Amino acid sequence: MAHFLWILIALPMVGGFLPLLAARHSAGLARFHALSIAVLTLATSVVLMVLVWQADKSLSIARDSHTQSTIDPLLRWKPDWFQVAIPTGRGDSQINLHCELGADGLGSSMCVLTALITLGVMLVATRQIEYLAAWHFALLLWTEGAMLGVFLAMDLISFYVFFEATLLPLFLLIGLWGGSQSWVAARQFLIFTIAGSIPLVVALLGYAAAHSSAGEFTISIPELSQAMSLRVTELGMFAESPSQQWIFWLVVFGFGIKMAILPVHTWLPGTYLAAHPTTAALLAAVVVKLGIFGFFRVGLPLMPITCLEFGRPLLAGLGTLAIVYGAFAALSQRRLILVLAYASLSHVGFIAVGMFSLHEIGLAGSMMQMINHGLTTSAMFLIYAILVSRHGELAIDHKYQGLASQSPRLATLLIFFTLAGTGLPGLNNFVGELLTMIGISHYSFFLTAIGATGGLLGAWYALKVVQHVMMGKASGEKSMTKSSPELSAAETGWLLTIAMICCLLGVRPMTIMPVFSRDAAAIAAVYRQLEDPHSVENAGESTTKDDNG
Amino acid sequence: MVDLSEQLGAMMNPIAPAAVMLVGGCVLLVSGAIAPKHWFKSTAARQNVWSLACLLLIGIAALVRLYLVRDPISRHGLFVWDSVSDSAEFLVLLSGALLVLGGWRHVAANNAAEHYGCLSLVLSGLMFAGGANDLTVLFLALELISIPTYILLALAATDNRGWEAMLKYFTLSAFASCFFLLGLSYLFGIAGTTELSVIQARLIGQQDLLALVAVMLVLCGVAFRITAAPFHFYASDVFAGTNLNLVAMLAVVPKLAGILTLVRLFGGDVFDSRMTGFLMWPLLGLATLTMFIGNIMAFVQTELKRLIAHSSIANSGYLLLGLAAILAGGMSSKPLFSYLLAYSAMTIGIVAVLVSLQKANQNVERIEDLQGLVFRRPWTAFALAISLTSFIGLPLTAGFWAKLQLFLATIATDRVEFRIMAILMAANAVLGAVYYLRILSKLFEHGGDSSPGESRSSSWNPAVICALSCAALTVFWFFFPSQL
Repeated sequence: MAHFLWILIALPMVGGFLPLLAARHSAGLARFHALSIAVLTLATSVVLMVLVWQADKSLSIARDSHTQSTIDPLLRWKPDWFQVAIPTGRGDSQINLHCELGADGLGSSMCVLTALITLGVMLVATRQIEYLAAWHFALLLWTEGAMLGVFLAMDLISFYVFFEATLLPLFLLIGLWGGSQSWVAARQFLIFTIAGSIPLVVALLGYAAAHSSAGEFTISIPELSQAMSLRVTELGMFAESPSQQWIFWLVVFGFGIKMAILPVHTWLPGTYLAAHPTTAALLAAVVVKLGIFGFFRVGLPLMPITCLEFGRPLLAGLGTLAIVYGAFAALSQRRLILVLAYASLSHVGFIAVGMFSLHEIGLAGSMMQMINHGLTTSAMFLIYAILVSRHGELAIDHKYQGLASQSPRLATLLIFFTLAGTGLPGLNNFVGELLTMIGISHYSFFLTAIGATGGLLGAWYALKVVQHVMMGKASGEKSMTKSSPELSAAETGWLLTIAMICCLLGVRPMTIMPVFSRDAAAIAAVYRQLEDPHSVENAGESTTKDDNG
Repeated sequence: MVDLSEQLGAMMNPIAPAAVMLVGGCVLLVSGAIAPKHWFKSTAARQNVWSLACLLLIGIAALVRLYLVRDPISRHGLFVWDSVSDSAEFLVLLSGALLVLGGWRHVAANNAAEHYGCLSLVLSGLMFAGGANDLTVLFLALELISIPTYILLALAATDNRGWEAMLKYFTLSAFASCFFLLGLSYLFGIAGTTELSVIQARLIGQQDLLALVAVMLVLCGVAFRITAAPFHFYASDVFAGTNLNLVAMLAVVPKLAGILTLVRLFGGDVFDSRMTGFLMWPLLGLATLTMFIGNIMAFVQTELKRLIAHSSIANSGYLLLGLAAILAGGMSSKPLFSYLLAYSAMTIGIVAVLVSLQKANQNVERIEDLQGLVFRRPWTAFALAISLTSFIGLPLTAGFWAKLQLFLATIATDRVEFRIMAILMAANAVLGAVYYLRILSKLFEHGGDSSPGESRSSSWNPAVICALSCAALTVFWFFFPSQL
């Protein structure tokens, strides 16, 4: 069963070469190969998630949260040969970096999300990208493989390697198929992310070195997190020595840039603007999540004390700020892609707030919001991509009014996803945002109030977009640039699938919540112990209350 | 008589490949002088014959290295054979072969024999330095590297810039050698012997002024060779003035020589952290200055040779930092050689790409000349892209593990100053990424020189092979880092 882990990563990585080989015969064959690899990857990821689900159900009874490691993959793949011996260290000794893959609830569901979104991006791109199309597909598949690797990595080194391996394909995707300034934007994107990730590797190595000086050098995240939760049980607030705070700050810097947290978000609008809209969809929906996922996988479980002491006030505050700032920035933009970019920034704020509430409900909500945000954002960006290919540049301007009469189906779908994004009750984002707000209310009502206000602002800009771009009379001067059909059958199918998932998650969040509640409870247990060492915690059920009213 | 030859054999045993290269280099020089000119009709024939001869010589030395049985802990007076000399030999033979391949078509046909003779001597000098267990051997080995380098620069000089480069290198190098020699004399004064192991033992815990002066003088001499700031000023002019073959050689060989010297003088196989004392702070200072100056100056370069020069300065900084960390932590010197190995492959790979792109009477000199290369020559562009990625230190390339090992060494020392240095090095790696990316994105940008006259040359081009094998090695080492 555990072989699905490496198969899932290898499938798009190796399969990426297929369209390149097929392109010698015909472009159609290349497209066919690329799409079939993407579909296969999606199927594999769904199988993986079901496997994790099954394993979770069979395990869920006897669980002792004291001795359990915070990160506890249900499927593990750790072959003996999967290690790297680096001859550093004292004297002649070698450092063995034993890599491993593993899947927990969050990781496997992020894999499904990634595979789903990559497929959607590819479907839209097939109709729009003709220049070097085979390379586009290959790079998309390689990016997908690397991202899946991040979600499945269970040690610091392979996590980092996959984290970095996304960069080069993305660099080329942004640069080769973007607008006029695409290479400048691609360089800016890469330099920003490298500026984050090189300090990150210093931090990860520093962490491994600091926590293995006593015994074996280990980079396994489950082992490190278990050691840390044991230390928390024994030492409480002294589990981390203050001299290791620098590690935390570097980690915050590294993941913060990737998830575009407020002061270091400046790479984001320019990159989305210059990249091809389908690439922007991939960036907004999945790539930004890599940073957030990094916090879930490395930050929260491995550095509980610093996360509690500095992380919560800082990042929950910055997240709240991002909600409001993103909403206001989106309100003031005229170009539609920038509205979407800042809206996405605002929604990522909810995820950050929920995550750094460090409370079980908030954590579960944040995990769920990662999925929700991925679904709605990718759908919105892809609809935008299709609209742009039909109508050219889009902006909130009287020139561009009345798209609904020209592209009625797209307009309907865009309105649906816009409403989902603003958190309309009954749709998925509402549940996630509500849970994150409940989570943070355990820490600070002030932040809850501000965050909820930001959510309100979200409705404002969303409705403004709908009003100014979709409604009104179509202006004669801006006619359609292409007379292709509005939506291909595959695109329709994909968008409707996403819409259905959004409805399902909104109406019955219980379908997905159990996947997250286990991970969230494991992380939250450490923090509960820190905040209230005397409480006997047995509140694992509280997460999955129906918040749908 | 038998006794003498046995003694000689025992003494030469640790450095037999170096001796092979030394003898072979002399043979090349002499045969170049006596070989009748009319034997080789065309310039291409001359290039082929002498390049092949040098490659063959390197092959023989490699075979000797493979099949010679050597006592792993032999310390035969003047020479020593341990992991340092072993890595040095591997590094020298590999980069020597790559240098020959990369410069095959670029070497001046009239003095190809002299060129390769000098190159062989340089390579043998490097291996001698790697196996030195004595101050005099170390110094002689370094001179065996320097003097043929002057000749190589003079052979390559065709215009005023070339002569300027040669003179600059000659005068400054001689000056640096003086400092170095003076330092060695102080070391001899401290220890009363020229044997390196004894000197190291005496230096442990030394705090007096004499030792400080000695170490400082030695560092000055070495800093010149590895183009560490503030001794780096010549590098950019020398690189820009000479031809591409020597750019590759100057970027790799003196760096290796300098690092080998420092490793041999102050550590060897495994360093002793008690040696740290007064050595650490000068090394850290040099490293910081070198990293920042190299990277920041590289920003403003548009000429590729000058860019390579500054990139090599920056990389010296990383190496010096790694050396300081290894010294302070009392660790194995292996990461330095891994880094040098990766660095050699990427640098020679980049230069080989530039060599392969040269057209008649026209050089690829500026970054702009590489615009859209991937659409004209996908394979060479691919090789160049891999080398550049490796310089940035992204995964799927050897540069990733090389940098990772240096970081690991820096962090593993567990001292505050090294933590700060690790962060400074991270900052520099980002600075470096900026200019490597500038080239990388140029490769994929449309436009640029696509004149119809440039047809894809179907003829066998060794420089392309060199570039591709450098790229292949770079990727190979990522998946098999234990080979690095």
